Parts: sequence; structure tokens; C-alpha cells
Amino acid sequence: MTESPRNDLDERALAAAAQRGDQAAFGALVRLHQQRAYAVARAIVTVHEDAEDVVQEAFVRAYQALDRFNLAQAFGPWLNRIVANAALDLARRRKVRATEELNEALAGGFRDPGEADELRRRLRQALARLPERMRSVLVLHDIEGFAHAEIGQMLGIPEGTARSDLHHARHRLRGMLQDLRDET
Amino acid sequence: MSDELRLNDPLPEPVLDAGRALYAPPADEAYWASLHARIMARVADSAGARWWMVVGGWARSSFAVAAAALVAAVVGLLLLHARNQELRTAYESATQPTVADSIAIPSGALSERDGPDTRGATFRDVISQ
Repeated sequence: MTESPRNDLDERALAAAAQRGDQAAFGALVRLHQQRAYAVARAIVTVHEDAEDVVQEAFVRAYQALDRFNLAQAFGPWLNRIVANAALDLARRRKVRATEELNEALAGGFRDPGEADELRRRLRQALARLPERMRSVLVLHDIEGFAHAEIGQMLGIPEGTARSDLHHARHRLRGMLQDLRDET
Repeated sequence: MSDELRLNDPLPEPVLDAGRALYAPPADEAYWASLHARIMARVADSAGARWWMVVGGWARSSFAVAAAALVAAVVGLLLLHARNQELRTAYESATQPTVADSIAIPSGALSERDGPDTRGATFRDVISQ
């Protein structure tokens, strides 16, 4: 997930311009980061529509907090923390829902229209049964490719906890997919 | 997938592929253009709100300065009033006669009004009744 020095320089210039009130520069940053922001949000809130809301909210928060952004740092990790916080806020609000409703929402989220694969269906069910933070860590690490330290920063947990969560999430997932493994 | 897996091993590649498919972001460029437009519309709204927050901040600062000036003026007036009161009291105590002075009766006046003849006449009048 490390950005190249060239990109860092470009982003720093864009971020500096955005800090001076240049909305077009901020728009360019949005264009560069919206897909990664979506991936972070989706890993935490799981549902496509929620991830979309989180991304919008996070960019607004980032814009409002631009004064506090340190230009010596990379923009991506700073933004990812804001996205993760917005996603965690939404996930906390969603906790008032019944578990069944949440699982339904997860199963009925954004779908690949061509999906007919049994493994995907089972994996979706298994992921829905994982505790929220474990699922987030697993998706961010194994699917999105973030490092433990980055995940720790995003979720506000120590790097060691991120490692431990990943270990337990994989273990549980393997257990839930055991029969599938035996069949294949 | 029939291989024996150890706890710290990564998930099998077919599971990871299925996960990538589940979490794949929308592939349509038009989707991202639309999301970008929605984000920037919200940012533009918040920019207006931000401007009002700045103005509001200035207004709050001005109000605080005005309130501090008012408090200072009131305190100054009270101190001035107290000082004036003190001076007036000191002046009056220095210039006005004392209580003893005000109830003292000049000895000449008493001897003129209540002289022996007057007192004698009054005594005789009381005795005769």
C-alpha cells in the first residue's frame, strides 16, 4: 500500500493547494483515492450502500479537517484513518439493528451479477458470522493487501492486536469452511 | 482445497479469490464519476458551512471582546463611584459639626429664656391651680 515518491510529491502539491481552498485540487485527490477509500469502508461496513455513504462522509470530514493535515505526511494513510473512523461510526450506529437484520443486509449487499459460485456464497455467510473487527482486519489484510501496522492505525488498535485478530479470523473461517474443503 | 492447513498460513487462494470477488469495487467508470460528483457536491455544501463557521468564529470573538470591554467599563465605573463616595465622606466628616456640637446650647440663650423671673412665674402659676 506504500505510494511511490512521485505520487507523494504530486499529492503533497494537491493537498497544499486544497489547503489554500482550491476545490479542484481537492477534487483531484478525491479522484485518486476514492476507490481505496471505498475498499477500506467496505471492509468495515460490508454493505455496498453503506460503504458509499461512508466514502462521501469521509471526504467531507477530510475537507473540513484539511487545516490539520500535515503536509510532511502522505495523504493516503491520513485519509484512510478518516474513512475507517467514519465506517466505525456507522457500524456502531448499525449495532442497534437486530443481528438477523444485519446478516440479511450483508447477504443482500452489493452483488456481482455473475455470482453463482458456492464458495462465494459460503464465504459470505462465514464472514457475516465473524466478529466485526476480526472481519475488518481479515478483509483489509488478506483481500485489500494492507499491512498490519496500517490496519492498526486505521482501526485504532495496536499492530499486535491486528495480527492476533487476523490469526483468529483465519482460524474461524477455516473452521466454518471445513466441510467445503473436504468436498472439494 | 484438500491440503492440510496450518493456523498461520494464508487462506487458500480459491478462498481469497472468492473474497476478492465479494469485495470487488464496482468496475464501471461511470459509477466512480457519479460518486466523485456526489462527493464534490457535498464538499461544496460543506465549504459554505465552513465559511459560515469562520464568520461565526469571528462574531464570537468580537462578542467576547465587546463583553470584556463592557465588564471592564462597569468595574471602572463602580471603582470610580466608590472612590467618590469615600472622598465625599472624608470631606463631610471634616467640614460638618459633630453631634455634640449640634446639641450644645449656648449658655447665654438659656439664661435669657429661662431666667429666674420666668421660672418663678411658672412656679407660682402651678401652685395657684
